[in-house]
Order: sequence, then structure tokens, then C-alpha cells
Amino acid sequence: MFRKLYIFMLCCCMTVSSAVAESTWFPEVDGWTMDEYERIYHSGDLWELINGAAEGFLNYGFESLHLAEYTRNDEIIRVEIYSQGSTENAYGMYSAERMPDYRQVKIGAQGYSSEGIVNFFTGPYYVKIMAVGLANVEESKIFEMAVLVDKHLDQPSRMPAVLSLLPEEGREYLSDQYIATNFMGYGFLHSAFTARYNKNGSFQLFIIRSSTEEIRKMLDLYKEMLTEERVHQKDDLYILNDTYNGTVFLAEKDEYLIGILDTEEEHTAVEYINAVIARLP
Amino acid sequence: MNFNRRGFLKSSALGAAGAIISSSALGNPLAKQRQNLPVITRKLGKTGLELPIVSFGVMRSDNANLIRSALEMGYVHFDSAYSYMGGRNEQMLGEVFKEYPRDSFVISTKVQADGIDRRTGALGPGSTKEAFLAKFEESLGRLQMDYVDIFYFHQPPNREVVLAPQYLEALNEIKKQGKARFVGLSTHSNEPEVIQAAIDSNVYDIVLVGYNFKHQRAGEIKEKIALAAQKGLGIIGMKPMAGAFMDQERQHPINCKAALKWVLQDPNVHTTIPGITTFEMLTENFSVMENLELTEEEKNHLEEAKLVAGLYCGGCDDCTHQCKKHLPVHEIMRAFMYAYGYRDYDHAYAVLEEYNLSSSPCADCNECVVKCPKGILVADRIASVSKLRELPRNMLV
Repeated sequence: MFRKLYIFMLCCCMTVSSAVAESTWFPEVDGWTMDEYERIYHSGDLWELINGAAEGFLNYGFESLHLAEYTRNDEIIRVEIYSQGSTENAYGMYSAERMPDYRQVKIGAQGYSSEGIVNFFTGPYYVKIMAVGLANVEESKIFEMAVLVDKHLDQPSRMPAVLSLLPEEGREYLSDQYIATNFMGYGFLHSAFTARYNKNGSFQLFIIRSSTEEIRKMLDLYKEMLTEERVHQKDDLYILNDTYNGTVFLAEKDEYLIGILDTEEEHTAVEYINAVIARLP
Repeated sequence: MNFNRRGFLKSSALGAAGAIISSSALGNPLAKQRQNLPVITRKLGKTGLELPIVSFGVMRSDNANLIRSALEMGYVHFDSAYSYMGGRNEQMLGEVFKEYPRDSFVISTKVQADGIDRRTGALGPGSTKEAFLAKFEESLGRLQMDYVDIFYFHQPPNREVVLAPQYLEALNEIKKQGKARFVGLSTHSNEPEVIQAAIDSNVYDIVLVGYNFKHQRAGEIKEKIALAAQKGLGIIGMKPMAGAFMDQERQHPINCKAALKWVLQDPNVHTTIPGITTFEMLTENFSVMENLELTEEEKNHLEEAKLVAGLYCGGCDDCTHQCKKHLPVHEIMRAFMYAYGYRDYDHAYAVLEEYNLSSSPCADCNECVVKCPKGILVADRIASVSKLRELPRNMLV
């Protein structure tokens, strides 16, 4: 019995040694009281808070949500810190909810503000700070709170590296995204960085980075799914006549799969695929 | 009733629909193959809307081609919300649907009211009609539409909020102005009370309710749904896939087709809105529109999934009042889930500490009288997880 407990204890210590202690998630803020309502949600109970939207977070590697409310007189600011496990996943979830017309603010790796909210991501955390619906709080106060939370989390403020491979020319403002699963509606395509472009019409460019084996597997599964006559190859370029997504231009380069869709313009597709390849490390 | 998209278009005076449908969607052979196949439809209560029994929960989908293919296959009803993807979901749908005649699809969206206390469900100072209507107008703008077919009050937590005059006024106004053909509410918790309030209101036309084979209160919800349907309300089922996994660790997927069929065995559920993010799901769910019968394999799978789900406390809290020592049993079960489900021992410890529990809280009880409705052996779990209290907490961090 004692031996069993000892093993259990050892297992406990090993598993949680790298975890952040609860009390370190939120900063103390002068003049504000952190409400006793501080909760942690995990994958099993996130739906209790945000219902069906939980599924989106789970698809981006959700680990936990730490939630607290700060009060000062009648003012209440709620802080939600979603721990997503990696910078890519935090950025993915953040960008999935980012509207291009929101006002960009300098915070974390990237952030924006809208009426009563400041959202940003930093390191593996997607942070939502809001007063909307709870009480009227000046926007500057919400931003100040966001800055303190950002500073407290103390993460390197960098964007995912793959985004630097996206060409600038013609790129639509804030159209960049990271799709962790079911890219283009296919279960076998995942981990795609993507952005929309406008040059000779509108199109979408994507870059998938994975192991060379995984990249090969994705490409093979894609080709297998289409009948032979729908797959054409010109040197290193694949032109796929996709049943659902129209014409897709694809190129495989080591750990990268680069593609263009929503255009028939082969010349433009080749130009952009080559531009990405030229930027590869 | 059997029904196909071609028939629907004709009956909806949409004969010319194909003229402006995108060429990429028309090239979809699956769409051509599906067009003449009959699908099962049901009438959405007194709204009179005749919908295929499977609709499209758009919530997590950001692929416009998926929506176009769905329209071509025979999906008619698409469900979104103000909050999905921070508004990008409605925006994407707006871009797609402007390619189609307005009456060739049925669109629903939802708005959650501001100012409702998450802990108590009480109405606060921010819970105004104006704030609610402003969000609804924003939704219409994103969708690029003058009206939606169904507008839901998203997730009112209790009877008081369902019947709050400011929201009933807002819903009546929206309907009167023709900005929504029908109004409803969505309910994720406290379902029987919320559904009853919707019935009593005489305002809500439709109830969108979380309902699946794993749901702790499936029996109660079934009864309330039957009553609501009898009163003429349309019933739409959501979360039919029960989280898509049997376990909290998401290692054992649920047979989604079987789960969807289970919900639709209830004739009072008029349609469902499973979330769809792949073409594979699109095709699989469509097949349920054609054949609802559960195979033996599917029945067995659902039985197994129910058993696995039983490993976890559903938080019904029927147990606490049964315990002779008034232990917070469902909280201890939560600690058990943290420790054994998520290996989050610190969090488990925090729960035990919060209730000042010893390392053997059942020591002076000879027999446990607690009967968990899910069959969880409560005493064993309490004994197991409480041992954490023998450790200094700082060892767990």
C-alpha cells in the first residue's frame, strides 16, 4: 500500500513540476481587487463557460483557461488567459477570432481592441480582457490592465516563424491565419499557415510545415483522394482539379507544402510559390 | 416526409437558383449525384418551415467551399452566432450567401445578452434591450442580409432571463420589423426550466437545445421537448455528437453518425445542427438524412460510449444531500477528474483543500449510502483522491 502511494506521489511530482502555480497567473494591480471568483477550466469543462465555442479552442491544443475578475467600485474587468500549448496554437486561436476592422494595438506578439475588449496573444497564451457587458470601464483602463497582464506573463513577443515566409506583395491586411486541423475541409491536411492575396484577382496561399514524411503523406493522401485524371504534374508543380475546392497548385519542398487556391492563374500561382521557396531557411 | 433539394427549390419559387450559384460548387459531382435522392424532412413546429432533419452547424467552419458544397448537396439550414469566431463566422457566411437567392437557404444566428452574471444568472445593469438589439444589427451587417430566418436569444440561463421584458420586447420588435421570420432561444444548461419558460412566454417559436445520448438530463429534456413540441414550438437539437469523444482525453472518438441518429430517433426533434468542418463529415451526416435506422453496430457503440462516459462525474450534484457526512461529493468527484483525468494534481489538491477535507474523510462511515445516477463508486473515488491531502501542497506545484 505504502509502495503504491509512493509511486503515485512520484508520478504526481513528475507530472506537475513544470506547471505554473495558480497564484502566478494574474498580477496584483494597484487600486483593483481580484475577485474571489478565480476559476480554472480544462478540456472537460470549458464548454460550461463558452459552450460550443470550446471545440474551437480544443482544436488548437487547449490546455487550460485561467479566469479572474478585477473590481474597483462599480467597475469590473474580466481577464481570461487561454493556455494553448504553443505559440502557433495561441496565434491560431487568436487569428481565428480576429476581425480585420478591429483596431490594432501594440501588446503581446499582436493584439487588437474593440469596444470594451482587448485581445492579444503572447507565447502560448491567448488573452482576452473585457469589460463589455459587466460595467462601463474606460478603454484606457482596460488597455492598462492588458499591459500589466502581458508584462506579468512575461513571454517573448514574437509571431510564429512560418509567417515570415508569406510574401508581402498583394497580401490582404490581417488575412493571415493558422489552421490547426481540417484545412480546406480535409482531415488529412493540418498545421497550415495561410493568407489571402490580391494580384490578378483574389487567391489564397498556404504553407504547411511538418516532417518530410508527414508532408509526403499529406500530398499522397490528397492525390489518392482525387482520381488520376485530376492530378497533373509540371516539373515540381502539382495542379490538382479538386472536386470541392477547385484548382489547387501545390509544391513540396522538404518540410514544406506550399499551395495556392481560388485562382486559375497558373503564372501567378507559380510566382508566389517560388517566392515562398526563395524565403525558405 | 421525403424531399430533395430540387423539390425544395421548386416549392420555394427558386427555380432560377442555379443561375447564380458559383461555378465551383456546380462542378461538384457529389452535388449532382445527390440532387435527386430523397431526404427526410420534418416540420419545425408552428413555423411551418419544412427542413431536412440534418442541418449545418457552421460554428467552427471557415471554409466557404464547404458551405457551397453543402448547399448543392441538399443542406438547407445553416446555423451561426454573433460570437462564433469573433464574428468572422457570420462574415464568411455573408460572403458565400450573397451568391445565392435569399430564399434558397435558411439562416439562423444568435446573440447573447450582455450584463448577465455568469455565476448567479442574475440580470445586471448592462442587460438592456438596446445593447441586445445593437448586437443583432451587427450580425445582420456581417451576414449582409436584411433579415435572418431564425434569431435566437443565445443561452438565457434561467426563467427570469428568458422572460425578462426587455428581451421579449426586443424579440417582438425584431419579428415585427421583419428582421427575423422566427425567434427562439438556445439553451445549454438548466434546460427543463428554460424550455418551460419559453413555452410560457408565447413569444418564442423555436427552442435550440443541447441533447445527446450522453447528456445527464436527457430524460428530463426529452419530456420537456415533447411538451414544447406539443405546444407548437419548433425543436432543434444541438451538440448531437456529445463532444465527439468518449473520454476527456479525446483519444476514443464517438461514432458521430450513430450519435446523430440517436437524437433524431426522437420525432419531436425536428432538425439538428451538428458542427461540420470536413467534406467527409458533410457526406456522412447527409447519409443520415436518407436513412435514420441505427445498425446493431451503432447501437453497441452507443452503449459502450455511455459506459466510458460514466467514468466522469456529470456534476448533477444529486449525491451531496445523500451523504451522511454532507461531504461535497460532486466537488470531490471533480478533484478525482483533475487528478486521474488530467493529471492536474495541484488543482485536485486545491479543490480538496477548499473544502478542508482530510486524507480519509469517509473513515468513520461503515457503509456509503450515496447512489450516483451514473453508477460511479463514490466511496472508492473519495478514498483514492483524498490521499493527496497527505502530501504537502508545494510538492505538487
